[in-house]
Amino acid sequence: MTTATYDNIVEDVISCTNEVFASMIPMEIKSDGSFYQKEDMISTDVISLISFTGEHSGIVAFFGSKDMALKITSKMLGIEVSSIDQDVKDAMGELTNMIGGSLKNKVFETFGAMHLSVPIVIAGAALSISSSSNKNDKQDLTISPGVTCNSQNSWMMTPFSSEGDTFNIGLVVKKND
Amino acid sequence: MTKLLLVDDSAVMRKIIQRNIKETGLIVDEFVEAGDGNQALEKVNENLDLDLILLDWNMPNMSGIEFVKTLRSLNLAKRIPVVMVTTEGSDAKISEAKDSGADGYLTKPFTADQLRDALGSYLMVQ
Repeated sequence: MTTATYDNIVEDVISCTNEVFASMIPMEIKSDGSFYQKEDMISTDVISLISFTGEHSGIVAFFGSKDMALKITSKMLGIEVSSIDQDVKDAMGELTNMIGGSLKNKVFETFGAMHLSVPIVIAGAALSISSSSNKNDKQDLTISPGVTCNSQNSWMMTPFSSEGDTFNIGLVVKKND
Repeated sequence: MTKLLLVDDSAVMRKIIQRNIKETGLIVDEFVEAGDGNQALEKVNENLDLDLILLDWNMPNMSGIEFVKTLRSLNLAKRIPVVMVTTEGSDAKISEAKDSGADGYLTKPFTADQLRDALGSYLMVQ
Protein backbone atom coordinates (compact mmCIF):
# COMPACT_ATOMS: atom_id res chain seq x y z
CA MET A 1 0.00 0.00 0.00
CA THR A 2 1.32 3.43 -0.93
CA THR A 3 0.60 6.34 1.37
CA ALA A 4 1.17 10.00 0.61
CA THR A 5 0.27 13.06 2.64
CA TYR A 6 -0.96 16.29 1.08
CA ASP A 7 -1.37 19.18 3.42
CA ASN A 8 -3.73 22.01 2.61
CA ILE A 9 -5.42 20.32 -0.34
CA VAL A 10 -8.86 21.45 0.83
CA GLU A 11 -7.61 25.02 1.13
CA ASP A 12 -6.09 24.73 -2.35
CA VAL A 13 -9.39 23.51 -3.85
CA ILE A 14 -11.23 26.37 -2.14
CA SER A 15 -8.75 29.04 -3.22
CA CYS A 16 -8.59 27.78 -6.82
CA THR A 17 -12.38 27.69 -7.11
CA ASN A 18 -12.72 31.12 -5.52
CA GLU A 19 -10.08 32.48 -7.92
CA VAL A 20 -11.94 31.18 -10.97
CA PHE A 21 -15.22 32.73 -9.84
CA ALA A 22 -13.63 36.02 -8.74
CA SER A 23 -11.84 36.38 -12.09
CA MET A 24 -14.33 35.12 -14.65
CA ILE A 25 -17.76 34.42 -13.16
CA PRO A 26 -19.51 37.38 -11.48
CA MET A 27 -21.24 35.29 -8.84
CA GLU A 28 -20.81 35.17 -5.07
CA ILE A 29 -19.93 31.71 -3.76
CA LYS A 30 -19.24 30.53 -0.23
CA SER A 31 -17.29 27.42 0.72
CA ASP A 32 -18.21 25.21 3.65
CA GLY A 33 -15.40 22.82 4.60
CA SER A 34 -15.15 19.41 2.97
CA PHE A 35 -16.33 15.84 3.39
CA TYR A 36 -15.73 12.41 1.94
CA GLN A 37 -18.39 10.70 -0.11
CA LYS A 38 -18.59 7.15 -1.36
CA GLU A 39 -18.82 7.05 -5.11
CA ASP A 40 -22.08 5.10 -5.09
CA MET A 41 -23.71 7.81 -2.96
CA ILE A 42 -23.20 10.53 -5.57
CA SER A 43 -26.41 11.58 -7.33
CA THR A 44 -26.54 14.79 -9.33
CA ASP A 45 -27.73 16.34 -12.61
CA VAL A 46 -24.50 17.65 -14.13
CA ILE A 47 -21.04 16.10 -13.86
CA SER A 48 -17.93 17.60 -15.44
CA LEU A 49 -14.71 15.61 -15.10
CA ILE A 50 -11.11 16.37 -15.91
CA SER A 51 -8.47 13.72 -15.29
CA PHE A 52 -4.78 14.17 -14.66
CA THR A 53 -1.89 11.78 -15.09
CA GLY A 54 1.75 11.88 -14.04
CA GLU A 55 3.49 10.85 -10.83
CA HIS A 56 -0.03 11.04 -9.44
CA SER A 57 -3.26 10.43 -11.27
CA GLY A 58 -6.79 11.36 -10.41
CA ILE A 59 -9.87 13.34 -11.27
CA VAL A 60 -11.15 16.84 -10.49
CA ALA A 61 -14.90 17.12 -10.97
CA PHE A 62 -17.85 19.48 -10.73
CA PHE A 63 -21.06 17.98 -9.34
CA GLY A 64 -24.11 20.22 -9.43
CA SER A 65 -27.83 20.55 -10.04
CA LYS A 66 -29.31 21.60 -13.35
CA ASP A 67 -30.31 24.95 -11.82
CA MET A 68 -26.78 25.61 -10.58
CA ALA A 69 -25.27 24.75 -13.97
CA LEU A 70 -27.72 27.13 -15.66
CA LYS A 71 -26.96 29.86 -13.14
CA ILE A 72 -23.19 29.56 -13.56
CA THR A 73 -23.44 29.48 -17.36
CA SER A 74 -25.70 32.54 -17.38
CA LYS A 75 -23.18 34.44 -15.27
CA MET A 76 -20.24 33.30 -17.41
CA LEU A 77 -21.89 34.36 -20.66
CA GLY A 78 -23.72 37.42 -19.34
CA ILE A 79 -27.02 36.21 -20.82
CA GLU A 80 -29.92 34.23 -19.37
CA VAL A 81 -29.65 30.52 -20.16
CA SER A 82 -32.78 28.49 -19.37
CA SER A 83 -32.14 24.97 -20.62
CA ILE A 84 -29.25 22.53 -20.70
CA ASP A 85 -27.63 22.93 -24.11
CA GLN A 86 -24.15 22.72 -25.62
CA ASP A 87 -23.18 26.09 -24.11
CA VAL A 88 -23.98 24.81 -20.60
CA LYS A 89 -21.94 21.65 -21.12
CA ASP A 90 -19.13 23.72 -22.59
CA ALA A 91 -19.24 26.19 -19.68
CA MET A 92 -19.15 23.41 -17.08
CA GLY A 93 -16.21 21.84 -18.91
CA GLU A 94 -14.34 25.13 -18.98
CA LEU A 95 -15.10 25.76 -15.30
CA THR A 96 -13.63 22.37 -14.37
CA ASN A 97 -10.71 22.92 -16.73
CA MET A 98 -9.81 26.22 -15.04
CA ILE A 99 -10.20 24.83 -11.50
CA GLY A 100 -8.16 21.74 -12.43
CA GLY A 101 -5.51 23.84 -14.14
CA SER A 102 -5.19 26.20 -11.19
CA LEU A 103 -5.00 23.28 -8.79
CA LYS A 104 -2.35 21.62 -10.92
CA ASN A 105 -0.24 24.78 -10.90
CA LYS A 106 -0.65 25.11 -7.14
CA VAL A 107 0.19 21.52 -6.17
CA PHE A 108 2.89 20.99 -8.80
CA GLU A 109 5.72 20.84 -6.25
CA THR A 110 3.94 18.19 -4.18
CA PHE A 111 2.33 16.07 -6.88
CA GLY A 112 5.03 16.44 -9.52
CA ALA A 113 4.46 17.11 -13.22
CA MET A 114 1.06 16.09 -14.50
CA HIS A 115 -0.94 16.27 -17.70
CA LEU A 116 -4.60 17.32 -17.74
CA SER A 117 -7.14 15.76 -20.08
CA VAL A 118 -9.78 17.72 -21.93
CA PRO A 119 -13.02 17.85 -19.86
CA ILE A 120 -15.87 15.36 -20.14
CA VAL A 121 -19.34 16.71 -19.28
CA ILE A 122 -22.47 14.64 -18.69
CA ALA A 123 -25.88 16.18 -18.02
CA GLY A 124 -29.10 14.39 -17.10
CA ALA A 125 -31.14 13.74 -13.96
CA ALA A 126 -29.93 12.03 -10.80
CA LEU A 127 -26.72 10.84 -12.44
CA SER A 128 -24.41 8.52 -10.57
CA ILE A 129 -20.87 7.33 -11.25
CA SER A 130 -18.90 4.17 -10.64
CA SER A 131 -15.22 3.40 -10.90
CA SER A 132 -14.21 0.72 -13.40
CA SER A 133 -10.65 0.25 -12.13
CA ASN A 134 -9.34 -2.97 -10.65
CA LYS A 135 -10.42 -3.36 -7.02
CA ASN A 136 -7.17 -5.17 -6.24
CA ASP A 137 -5.31 -1.98 -7.05
CA LYS A 138 -6.61 0.03 -4.09
CA GLN A 139 -4.36 2.67 -2.57
CA ASP A 140 -5.09 4.53 0.62
CA LEU A 141 -4.04 8.17 0.52
CA THR A 142 -3.96 10.58 3.43
CA ILE A 143 -5.37 13.73 1.89
CA SER A 144 -5.09 15.85 5.00
CA PRO A 145 -3.68 15.04 8.42
CA GLY A 146 -5.82 12.47 10.18
CA VAL A 147 -8.19 11.80 7.28
CA THR A 148 -7.78 8.80 5.04
CA CYS A 149 -9.41 8.61 1.64
CA ASN A 150 -9.76 5.37 -0.25
CA SER A 151 -9.09 6.56 -3.77
CA GLN A 152 -10.94 3.60 -5.26
CA ASN A 153 -14.39 4.69 -4.25
CA SER A 154 -14.41 7.83 -2.09
CA TRP A 155 -14.26 11.43 -3.24
CA MET A 156 -13.08 14.41 -1.27
CA MET A 157 -15.96 16.82 -1.80
CA THR A 158 -15.67 20.57 -1.24
CA PRO A 159 -19.13 22.16 -1.22
CA PHE A 160 -19.86 25.70 -2.37
CA SER A 161 -23.16 27.55 -2.02
CA SER A 162 -24.69 30.50 -3.84
CA GLU A 163 -28.16 31.97 -3.49
CA GLY A 164 -29.58 28.86 -1.82
CA ASP A 165 -28.14 26.29 -4.20
CA THR A 166 -24.94 24.26 -3.91
CA PHE A 167 -22.34 22.48 -6.00
CA ASN A 168 -19.41 20.27 -5.07
CA ILE A 169 -15.87 20.18 -6.38
CA GLY A 170 -14.75 16.57 -6.07
CA LEU A 171 -11.21 15.24 -6.04
CA VAL A 172 -9.66 11.78 -6.09
CA VAL A 173 -5.89 11.30 -6.20
CA LYS A 174 -3.73 8.22 -6.46
CA LYS A 175 0.05 8.02 -6.33
CA ASN A 176 1.40 5.93 -9.19
CA ASP A 177 4.11 3.41 -8.33
CA MET B 1 -9.00 47.07 -39.59
CA THR B 2 -7.86 44.80 -36.75
CA LYS B 3 -8.48 41.09 -37.17
CA LEU B 4 -7.99 38.57 -34.35
CA LEU B 5 -8.03 34.75 -34.48
CA LEU B 6 -9.38 33.06 -31.33
CA VAL B 7 -8.34 29.41 -31.01
CA ASP B 8 -10.00 27.49 -28.17
CA ASP B 9 -11.97 24.24 -28.13
CA SER B 10 -14.48 25.89 -25.79
CA ALA B 11 -17.00 28.05 -27.65
CA VAL B 12 -17.98 29.55 -24.29
CA MET B 13 -14.40 30.64 -23.64
CA ARG B 14 -14.24 32.21 -27.10
CA LYS B 15 -17.39 34.18 -26.27
CA ILE B 16 -16.01 35.25 -22.87
CA ILE B 17 -12.75 36.47 -24.40
CA GLN B 18 -14.60 38.42 -27.10
CA ARG B 19 -16.84 40.05 -24.49
CA ASN B 20 -13.87 40.92 -22.26
CA ILE B 21 -11.94 42.43 -25.16
CA LYS B 22 -14.90 44.66 -26.01
CA GLU B 23 -15.51 45.62 -22.37
CA THR B 24 -11.87 46.55 -21.76
CA GLY B 25 -11.83 48.91 -24.74
CA LEU B 26 -9.36 46.97 -26.86
CA ILE B 27 -10.14 47.52 -30.53
CA VAL B 28 -10.85 44.45 -32.66
CA ASP B 29 -12.91 44.86 -35.82
CA GLU B 30 -13.25 41.20 -36.74
CA PHE B 31 -13.01 37.98 -34.74
CA VAL B 32 -12.17 34.74 -36.54
CA GLU B 33 -12.68 31.53 -34.53
CA ALA B 34 -11.21 28.03 -34.54
CA GLY B 35 -11.79 25.05 -32.25
CA ASP B 36 -8.40 23.35 -32.60
CA GLY B 37 -4.98 23.74 -34.20
CA ASN B 38 -6.01 22.16 -37.49
CA GLN B 39 -8.93 24.57 -37.92
CA ALA B 40 -6.64 27.42 -36.89
CA LEU B 41 -4.16 26.61 -39.67
CA GLU B 42 -7.03 26.69 -42.18
CA LYS B 43 -8.15 30.08 -40.82
CA VAL B 44 -4.61 31.46 -41.04
CA ASN B 45 -4.37 30.41 -44.68
CA GLU B 46 -7.70 32.15 -45.36
CA ASN B 47 -6.76 35.25 -43.33
CA LEU B 48 -3.12 36.14 -43.85
CA ASP B 49 -3.85 39.69 -42.68
CA LEU B 50 -4.44 38.56 -39.07
CA ASP B 51 -3.10 40.99 -36.46
CA LEU B 52 -3.07 38.64 -33.49
CA ILE B 53 -3.76 35.02 -32.53
CA LEU B 54 -5.01 34.03 -29.06
CA LEU B 55 -4.28 30.37 -28.54
CA ASP B 56 -5.37 27.73 -26.04
CA TRP B 57 -2.88 24.95 -25.27
CA ASN B 58 -4.88 21.77 -24.59
CA MET B 59 -7.16 21.06 -27.53
CA PRO B 60 -8.16 17.92 -29.43
CA ASN B 61 -6.67 17.03 -32.84
CA MET B 62 -3.83 19.60 -32.79
CA SER B 63 -2.68 21.27 -29.58
CA GLY B 64 -1.80 24.93 -29.28
CA ILE B 65 1.91 24.21 -28.98
CA GLU B 66 1.87 22.04 -32.13
CA PHE B 67 0.00 24.81 -33.92
CA VAL B 68 2.46 27.56 -33.01
CA LYS B 69 5.44 25.41 -34.07
CA THR B 70 3.76 24.76 -37.42
CA LEU B 71 2.77 28.41 -37.79
CA ARG B 72 6.35 29.58 -37.25
CA SER B 73 7.52 27.22 -39.99
CA LEU B 74 5.21 28.92 -42.51
CA ASN B 75 6.94 31.81 -44.23
CA LEU B 76 3.77 33.74 -45.01
CA ALA B 77 2.39 33.66 -41.49
CA LYS B 78 5.46 33.70 -39.32
CA ARG B 79 5.11 37.35 -38.33
CA ILE B 80 1.63 37.09 -36.78
CA PRO B 81 2.00 37.50 -33.00
CA VAL B 82 0.64 34.69 -30.83
CA VAL B 83 -0.49 35.00 -27.21
CA MET B 84 -1.17 31.74 -25.38
CA VAL B 85 -4.32 31.83 -23.19
CA THR B 86 -4.30 28.62 -21.21
CA THR B 87 -4.62 26.93 -17.82
CA GLU B 88 -1.02 25.72 -18.19
CA GLY B 89 0.75 28.07 -15.80
CA SER B 90 4.06 26.48 -14.79
CA ASP B 91 7.37 28.19 -15.60
CA ALA B 92 8.36 25.15 -17.68
CA LYS B 93 5.22 25.42 -19.84
CA ILE B 94 5.63 29.17 -20.29
CA SER B 95 9.25 28.65 -21.39
CA GLU B 96 8.20 25.86 -23.75
CA ALA B 97 5.58 28.10 -25.33
CA LYS B 98 7.98 30.99 -25.82
CA ASP B 99 10.71 28.68 -27.16
CA SER B 100 8.15 27.35 -29.64
CA GLY B 101 7.36 30.81 -30.94
CA ALA B 102 4.64 32.27 -28.72
CA ASP B 103 5.06 36.00 -28.07
CA GLY B 104 2.92 36.35 -24.95
CA TYR B 105 1.28 34.29 -22.25
CA LEU B 106 -1.89 34.64 -20.16
CA THR B 107 -3.00 32.04 -17.63
CA LYS B 108 -6.67 31.15 -17.13
CA PRO B 109 -8.51 32.22 -15.07
CA PHE B 110 -7.78 35.85 -15.84
CA THR B 111 -9.34 39.17 -14.95
CA ALA B 112 -10.32 41.77 -17.54
CA ASP B 113 -7.34 43.88 -16.42
CA GLN B 114 -4.93 40.99 -16.93
CA LEU B 115 -6.36 40.40 -20.42
CA ARG B 116 -5.92 44.07 -21.31
CA ASP B 117 -2.34 44.04 -20.01
CA ALA B 118 -1.51 40.88 -21.98
CA LEU B 119 -2.95 42.20 -25.26
CA GLY B 120 -2.21 45.89 -24.88
CA SER B 121 1.05 45.60 -26.82
CA TYR B 122 -0.73 44.18 -29.85
CA LEU B 123 -4.08 45.99 -29.95
CA MET B 124 -5.13 49.62 -29.85
CA VAL B 125 -7.23 50.84 -26.91
CA GLN B 126 -10.26 53.09 -27.37
